[in-house]
Amino acid sequence: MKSISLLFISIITLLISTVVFALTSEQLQALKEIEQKVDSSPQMLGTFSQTKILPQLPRPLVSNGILAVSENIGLSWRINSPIESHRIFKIASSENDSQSPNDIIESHVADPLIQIVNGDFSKLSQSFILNPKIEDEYWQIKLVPKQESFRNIIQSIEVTGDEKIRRITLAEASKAITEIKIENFHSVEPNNGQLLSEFSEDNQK
Amino acid sequence: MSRRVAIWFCFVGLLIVLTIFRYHEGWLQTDILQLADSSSSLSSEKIQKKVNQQLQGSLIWVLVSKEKDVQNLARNTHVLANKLNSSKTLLSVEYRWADSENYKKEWEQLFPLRQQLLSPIDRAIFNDRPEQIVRRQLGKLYGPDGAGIDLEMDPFSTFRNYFTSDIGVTPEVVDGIPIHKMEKQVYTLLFTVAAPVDLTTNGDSSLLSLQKELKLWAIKNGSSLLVAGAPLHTEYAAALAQSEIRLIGALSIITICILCILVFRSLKPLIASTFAILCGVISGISGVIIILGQIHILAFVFGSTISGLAIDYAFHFICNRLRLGEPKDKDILPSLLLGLISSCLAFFSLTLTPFPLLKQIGVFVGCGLIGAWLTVILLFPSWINIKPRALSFSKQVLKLNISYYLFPLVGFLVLGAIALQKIQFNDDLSLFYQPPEFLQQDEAHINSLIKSRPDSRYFLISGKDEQEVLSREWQLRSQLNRLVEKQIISGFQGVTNRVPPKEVQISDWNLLSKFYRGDAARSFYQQLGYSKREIDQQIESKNKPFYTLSFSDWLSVASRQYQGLWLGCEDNDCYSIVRIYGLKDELSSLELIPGVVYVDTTKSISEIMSQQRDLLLQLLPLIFAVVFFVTVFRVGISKSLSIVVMPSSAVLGTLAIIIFLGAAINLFHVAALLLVFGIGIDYAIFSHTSQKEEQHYTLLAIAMAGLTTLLGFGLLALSATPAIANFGLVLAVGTVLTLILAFLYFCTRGKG
Repeated sequence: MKSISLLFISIITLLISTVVFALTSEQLQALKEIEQKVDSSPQMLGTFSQTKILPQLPRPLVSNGILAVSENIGLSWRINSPIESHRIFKIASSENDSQSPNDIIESHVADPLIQIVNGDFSKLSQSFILNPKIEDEYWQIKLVPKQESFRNIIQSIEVTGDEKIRRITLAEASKAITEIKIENFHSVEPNNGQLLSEFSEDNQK
Repeated sequence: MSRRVAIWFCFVGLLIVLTIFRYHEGWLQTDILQLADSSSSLSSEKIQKKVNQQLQGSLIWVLVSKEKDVQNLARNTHVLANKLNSSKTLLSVEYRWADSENYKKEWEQLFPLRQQLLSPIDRAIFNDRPEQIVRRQLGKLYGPDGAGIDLEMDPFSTFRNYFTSDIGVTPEVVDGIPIHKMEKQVYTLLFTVAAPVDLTTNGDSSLLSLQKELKLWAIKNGSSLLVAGAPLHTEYAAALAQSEIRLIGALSIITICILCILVFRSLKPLIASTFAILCGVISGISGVIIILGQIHILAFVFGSTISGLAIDYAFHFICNRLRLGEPKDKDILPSLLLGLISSCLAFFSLTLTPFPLLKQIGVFVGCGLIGAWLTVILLFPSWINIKPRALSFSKQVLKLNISYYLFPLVGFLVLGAIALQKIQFNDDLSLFYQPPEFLQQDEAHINSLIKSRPDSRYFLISGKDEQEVLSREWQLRSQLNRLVEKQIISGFQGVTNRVPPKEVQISDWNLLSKFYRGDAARSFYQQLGYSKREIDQQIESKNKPFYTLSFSDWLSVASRQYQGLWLGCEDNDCYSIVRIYGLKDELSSLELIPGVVYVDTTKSISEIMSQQRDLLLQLLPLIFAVVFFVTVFRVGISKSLSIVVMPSSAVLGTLAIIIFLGAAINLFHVAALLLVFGIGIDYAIFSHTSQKEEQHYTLLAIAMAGLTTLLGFGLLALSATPAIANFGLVLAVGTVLTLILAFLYFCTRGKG
């Protein structure tokens, strides 16, 4: 009871005390290089396979499907297997036109994810301590939430890739690990049929 | 000490004893809604005070910076909050995102009740398609954002959704301060509650000077500061009215002093007259405290003004003393007595009405006139020692034919009758107060940044206990939800957002119990790989008994927003309010259940003003009738008719001029007409009852009384505050017309 209340309160207060961590010049340089390396465009489509290991569950939860990114809308996440589910995580450009989500945690986890798949790491530096590394054509960024309260839910996010984002690993404080592998992530035109279909509200399940 | 002076002191002593005996702190009311005769307003003063503080005392401060300046904005917000906290004009300042400690306590208190508390969305899903809950939760668990799901205690996140459904998502929080974004600007919000506006303080400690000082500070620190809220307008309007009254008052006092010195060649008559008025006002206050117990400030202001009529008694007495030879006080006493009786009966007749404002004005003015009259009659004979002299103008007064008097007399009556056909009324509050541009600009800017500010209109819910209030509020919610669907309002907030009534909690408990017993919950666990035994264990552990939530315990840990919405219980009744957001249409036609009242303060004030105005207008003929019957015994029917016609003609003539000037009549016009009538009655009685040898002294007294009234109140017509200007204009026109009629009457005496 106490732990779950602390967990939730951590979410509630997750941004209460911002500590400003400045990136070293080397880290800043590495971050710029990574952002230049990553092939990002305003609209992208790809597939994913996700493995989530929850300590309470007897077996990992494995899923796969299609993800789509639109600079103006956000992130579409369609699970094709083992269940059918489709959700759109929208960008809130300003609070007046944002739609309040049913789940407050959803927005706090989904927002950084949108920025990660967009390759927009600089923006993440406001809420995360970034630790970028480059080795040959591969790179890795470890994101640690700046706020302790946020770290009580998400301990770290690791992103690896080359010219594309390949893998995202979320380590939760509850020991749950979520590994998302992204494949065939490519840019598309704004009027691409599949992209439009992915962001169609009617297709949400 | 003469016998008369001793009687006066006895009278004063008796008044003081009775006033002390009946005195209580709340004798002066300031809320205009207390003048309403309807039973819909709050019966408890304490509750009303809380509502006023919640709704009328709140101020919002918005610190705006450029988008890239977030850290600096957060720092400046802290500094600003400290500055606001140290100001005596503000009672509280809130600017941090949430009080995390309170949230934690609330969470811990409500978590055991998780099987009976559902968010509106979840409630709808459990009712219609419970299997969708399973799909949603599996989607989260298989999706990227399923962090923090508590599979053991809250596997379907229903409690998490319930608890967070009313917490707004803030895009960014820096150092505990929510940073809001709008286009290329970022801003922070500071919510304050202002202390009641103290009109006696000097300008340096006012809200307006604080606002001015902090705006300059914000500019120096690279931000801009916007402020909005009712207390700023209250203070501005009061300060403006006060400064005008001070300026106009000073001007009129100087001119009245000069006039008195020129005419009486002594300051003593002026001091004595002022003392008589002062005694009148004090008697009026005492009378109200003794008879009614309390008075509204509006009645107090009108009453004090009308008590100024008492100067007529003083001037008539003093002018009579100017007559050559021995003092002839007895000559003036019958007229003074008749003037007093007619005015008193007219004003006391107002107490027969069921309306608080009229009752209070009636008692105040009646008692005030008696007090002033007694002062003149009892103190003046031994106090006023003035050198008699012949009046130089007496030989120059024109001798005119009666038609010179009758023509304007009838003319004003006819004009009035014509104008009455075109009379229009307007009680819109904006006519009484025009906000200054600097406050309007801030208001508009804040509205452009924050689309959903709570409306000043709200619903008031009452019931015999907490549960009845919650039940009624819940019923109101279904009506309000329909209004949200129709986009008439954008949202609403009440305590039932967090704590539904017991019957709804039971219904939610049944919904979840049924869900856990059903196939959907089992399939959820199956899809996650649980064995049959594990599923049985999980489902068994989820079924919790129903708990009764202690409302007062919850309230002690509830967040500020909910604590403000619950007004408490008083005199066997409990109250809450439901605030509405983004109101786009009129709601007064909404059919409400018993115990729910839609409160539109602005409209209520306008309606009360309109109601009181109509009453005063309708009562004018009654007052004329009373005066007629009083004077008829003393002077006979024809003279009595003649007396009543003079003020009637002046009142109708004034009304005609105001209407032809294009003004829509309001309460302040009518209150001034009442005063014009009072002035007219006195002038008519004295002009009709004065003997031939004293008529020039009577004319002088009337002229002096008229001129001082004109200078004292007529100058208010120059005010920039519409209500004061309306009052002054009517009084100025009315006094001039009455003076003209009285003068013409004197000029025609002995001719017709």
